[in-house]
Amino acid sequence: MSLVKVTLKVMPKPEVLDSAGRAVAEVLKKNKFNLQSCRVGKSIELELEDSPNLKKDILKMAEFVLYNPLVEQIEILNEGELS
Amino acid sequence: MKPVGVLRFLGTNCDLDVFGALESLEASPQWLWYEDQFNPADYSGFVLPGGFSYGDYLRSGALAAKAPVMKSLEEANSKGQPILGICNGFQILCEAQMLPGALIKNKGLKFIDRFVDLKSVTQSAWGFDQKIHIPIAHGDGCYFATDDVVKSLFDNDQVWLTYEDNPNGSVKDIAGLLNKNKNVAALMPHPERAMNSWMGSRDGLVLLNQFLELR
Amino acid sequence: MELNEKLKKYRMSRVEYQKACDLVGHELDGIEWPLFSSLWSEHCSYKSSKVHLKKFAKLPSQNVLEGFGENAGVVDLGEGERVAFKMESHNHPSFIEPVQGAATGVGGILRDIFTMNARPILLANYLCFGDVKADRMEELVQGVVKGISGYGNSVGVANVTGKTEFHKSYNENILVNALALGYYSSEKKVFTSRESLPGHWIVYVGAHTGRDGIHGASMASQSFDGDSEASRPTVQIGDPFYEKLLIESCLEVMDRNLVESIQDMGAAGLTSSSFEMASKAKVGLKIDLDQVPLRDSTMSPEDVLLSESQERMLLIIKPENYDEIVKVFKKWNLEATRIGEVLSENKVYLHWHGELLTAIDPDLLVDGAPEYDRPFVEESNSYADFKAQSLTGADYSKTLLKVLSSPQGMSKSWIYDQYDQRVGAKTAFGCEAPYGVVRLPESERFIGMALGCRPEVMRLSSSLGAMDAIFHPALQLASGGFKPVAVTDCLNYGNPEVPEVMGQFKTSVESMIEACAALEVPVISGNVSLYNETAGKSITPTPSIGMLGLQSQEMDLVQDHFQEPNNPVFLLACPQVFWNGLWAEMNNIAPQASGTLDAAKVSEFINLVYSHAHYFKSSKVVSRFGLGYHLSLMTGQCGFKSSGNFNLSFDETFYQIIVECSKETLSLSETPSKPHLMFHDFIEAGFDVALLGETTETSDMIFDDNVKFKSTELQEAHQKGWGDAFKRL
Repeated sequence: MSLVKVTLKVMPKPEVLDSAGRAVAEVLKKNKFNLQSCRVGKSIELELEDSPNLKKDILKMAEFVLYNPLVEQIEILNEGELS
Repeated sequence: MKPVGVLRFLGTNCDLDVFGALESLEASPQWLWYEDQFNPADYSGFVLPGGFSYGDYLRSGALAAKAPVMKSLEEANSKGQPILGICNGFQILCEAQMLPGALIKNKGLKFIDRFVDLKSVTQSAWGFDQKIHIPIAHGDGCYFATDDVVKSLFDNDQVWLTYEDNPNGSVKDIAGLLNKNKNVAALMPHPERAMNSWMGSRDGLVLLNQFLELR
Repeated sequence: MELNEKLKKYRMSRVEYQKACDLVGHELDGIEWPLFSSLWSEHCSYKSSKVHLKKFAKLPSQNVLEGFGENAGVVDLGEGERVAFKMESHNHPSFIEPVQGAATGVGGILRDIFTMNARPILLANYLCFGDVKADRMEELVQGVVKGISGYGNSVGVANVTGKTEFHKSYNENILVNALALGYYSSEKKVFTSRESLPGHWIVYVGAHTGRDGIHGASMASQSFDGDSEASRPTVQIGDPFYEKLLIESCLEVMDRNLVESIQDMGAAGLTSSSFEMASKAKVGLKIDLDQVPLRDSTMSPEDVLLSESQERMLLIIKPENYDEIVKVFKKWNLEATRIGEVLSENKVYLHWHGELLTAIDPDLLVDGAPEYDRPFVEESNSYADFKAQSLTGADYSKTLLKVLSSPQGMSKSWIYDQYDQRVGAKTAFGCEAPYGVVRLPESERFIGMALGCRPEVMRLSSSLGAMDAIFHPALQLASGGFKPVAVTDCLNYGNPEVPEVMGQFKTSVESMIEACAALEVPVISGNVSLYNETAGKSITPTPSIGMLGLQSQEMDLVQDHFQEPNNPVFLLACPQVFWNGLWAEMNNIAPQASGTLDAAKVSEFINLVYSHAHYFKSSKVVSRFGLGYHLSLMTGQCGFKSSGNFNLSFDETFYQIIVECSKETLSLSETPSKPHLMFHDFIEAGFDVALLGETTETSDMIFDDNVKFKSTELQEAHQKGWGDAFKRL
C-alpha cells in the first residue's frame, strides 16, 4: 500500500463572520496595503494509506472532528492527485 | 524622574491594571496610544501590558507589533531605555523582534489561570534571590526557540525567570527573558495581579520595583 | 404564501394572529409579520411569565436605582459607588453550537451592563449539563467552556465564580446562564434606554449586520422537536476583540456626555431595540433600514430587522454631537452611522431605499403583546419521611472517596483554570472559592457574588428548592461577612403550556419572593427561559440566582479552607429540613425528607452568621453530601481531628456551617473556658452550636481511630473525577 498526502483547507463559511479576518484586514488597510477583504482559515495535512474509498474516508474524518459544518467549510486541495 | 510610558493597543486589557500598579508605586505612568509616535527622551521607561491585543488573531502580538507606536519603542530600545513586557507585551516584543524566540500555544492546548512559583536565573541587575509566587493567565505562553538560540540565551545571561513547575511546556522552563543588552525584559506571569495580600500575594512588587530601579 | 404556512414560518398561533390583526385594523402585511412574530415571541414579550414576575415588585427597593425593564438592575452600595448586574440564559444556541452559543451569551450580558455606563468587572456562570456519559456531552462541555473562556478572557473581564451541574434531565437541553456585573465610581452617571426626545438622531454603532441568528428570538421560544438541525438559523459569531472596542468607545461617549440613551441590539436585533426604546420613551422613530451597514448586500429589510449579529449598539444622540461621536468611534476603529431620527408622534416609520415599509404604533407591539395567565397545577410533594442513615466506618471511608470523585462531587478546576479570574486586578477570591470576591476600587470594600439553585432540591420540591436558591447563597455570603444586597435570576423551565411546568414556575417565583422578603433583598434584574424541553421531556426547573453581597465591616477575608493548626472548629446550625439528598439520588434511592423552611428563622440565622463572621478564620456552608465531604474540602493546608462521635452519613440538613475560629479570638470572648459563649446569640435564638474538633498540623482528616483519611488521598480522589468522567478532556 502506498502512502498519500492529503491537504485540507478549512475556511469560515462565507456567510459567517470571520473575526480574525476582519482584524487582519483592518491592520493591513491601516498600513496602506490595498485589499478588499481577508479571511483566515487553516490547513490540515493528513498522511494515510491509499485506498479505493480514500475520498469517502477523508470526508468521514472531516465530519468526525476536523471541521464544524455549522460555521466552517472544508475543501480537499489536492483532490485531483488522489486516485 | 520622568514618567513611565504605558503602551495601549486595540484590545489591550490589562492596561488599567498596570497603570494602577505603577501609580501605586509612584512611577507616574502615562498612556502611549498605538497610533501615535513619541519622543523616547520624554520617558524614563516603558511597559507593554498584557491582554489580547487584536484579539490574539493571526498570532498573539503579531498585529500589535506593526502599530506605529512600535517604531518609537524601537528607537527607545536602541537608546537602551528600560522596557518591560508583561504577557501579551512579551508576545508583542517577540513579534517585533526585540526579544528572540516566540510564544506558542500552551502544551496542554488550554488557557491556564493559576498561581505559579518563579525563580530568577540571571546574574544581571534584573536578578533577585527570593522565590516568588504570582499568577499566570495565558493560552499562548509556551516559550519556543531553536536549540542554538536557547543556548545563546544562557550563554548571554538572558534568562530572567524560570517556572518551578512548568505549566505550559516552555523550553527550559523559561518564564521571563532579557535582551542581550539587558534593557528589555519580559515575562508571561502578571506582577500587577500580585500587589496586595488580599490578591493572594505581594510578590509582584519585587518584579515591578526591579524594573523601576533600573530607570 | 397561504396563511397557515405563514403562521408556521413566523411561529405565531392563530389566536395571536387574530389579536394582531385587530390591533392594526387589517390582515398582517409584509414587514408587519416579522415584527409581530419577534416582539410577541416568548423571548421578547415574557407573555407567559409576566403575570408572575410582577410579584417581584413588592420586595423592598430602597437601594434600587434601576430595576426590571432596563438593560440591567442597578443598586446603590453607598459611598457613591453603585453596581449594575444581571444574569441571562443562552441555552438553545449553546446546545446547537456550544462554542459560539456560550461566547455570544457572555457578549450579550456584558453589553447589557456597559450600555448603562457601568464598567464590567465581574463575570460568573451557572451551567447545567446532562449526564456525563450522555450523547454529545463531552463536546458540549468542552465547547461551552471554550466559548466562555475565549470570550471573557479576551474581552478582559474576570470570571470569578461558577457553578456546574450534571444531571440527565439536561441531556437534550443544557443550561448556559451568564452573569455580568459592572461598576460605577462616584463620578459616573447611570444611563438608561428611555432618554430620547423628538429631534434626536438614531445612530448605529459597531459590527456590520449579517444574516446571523435571524428568527433566533422566536426559535428560543419553542421546544426542540428533534428537527432543530434543519430549522436553525445561521450561527451568531461573537468577536470579543470587537466587544472590547465597543466597551471602551461606548464608555467614552457616555463619560463625555455625548449620548442621551443607548441600547444593545440583542435578541430580535434592531427590531426589539428600536421598538422598545420608542415605547419606553413614548416617542416615535423614523429609521432608514437601507442605511444600516451590511456585511451582505443581498439582505432584505426583514433580514436587517431580525438579524442577531453581535457587537452592535443603537445610540440616541443630539444632532450637534454627531461629528464628535463619529470621531470617538473612529479612534477605536469602529463606525458610527446615522440611521434615523426620533419623532414626537408615537409611531415607528421604517423606510427601505425611500419606500415606506410600515408606520406602526410601537405600543401595539410592545405593550400590546399578549399576556397569559396560563393554567397551572400545584406540585404535590410526594416523598417519604426522612429516616437518618448512618454508615459503618469502613463503608463511609470507601464511599466518601467515591463521592469526592463523582461528577457531582468532583473538582471542576478543569473548567475554572481556563477562565481568567484575575484580569482587572480586583479579584480576592476566584472560582475555587464557594463565591467570588472582588474589591471596589474607590472605597476598597469587598463585594461577593454567590450563585444559587441546587437542582437536586428543585427535583425534591419547587417551593423548597426556590427558597433554598435564595437562602443558600445568602448563607455562603454571610459566612464570609458579606451582607446580601440584591439578587438577579435566570428562570429556566420547561414548556409553560404544560400545567405542571407552569405550577413549578409559579411556586418558584412565590417561594423566592418569600425568601427575599425575609432577607429584605430585592430582585433587580433577570431573564426567563422557557421551552427547555425536548420531545415532551422538561428539564429540572432551575431558577438560577446571582446574589450580590457587600462586606462593610472591618475584618479579614474569611477563607474556605482551614488556616492554622490547633484552632477549634464549630458547627453552627439552623436545623429545619432534613433529607437523604444528592447521595441518595445518585444511588437511585427514593427521596426522603422532613421539615419545612421557616423563612424568618433562616434569615435570623443568616444575619447572626453575618454579624459573627469577623470571628471566623475559615468557614464553609455544609450542603450536598453532608458534613464529612465539606470537612474534607477544607483540609490540605491543615488537617482536622474530630473531638467526639461523628455521625457517618451523607444525609443533608438545611442549614449548617462549619467555622474555624482562632484561639486568640476565643480568648477575646467573654469566657475563654466556655468558647461556646462566643456564639451565645445563636444559642439564645435556639440554634445549635457544637464543637466539632480542631485543626491539626498534619493535613489528614481524622474522625476516630477507625475512620481517617490522608489529605493526599482526599485531594487525589477529588481531582481524578474529571478524568474519569470525560476521557478525552
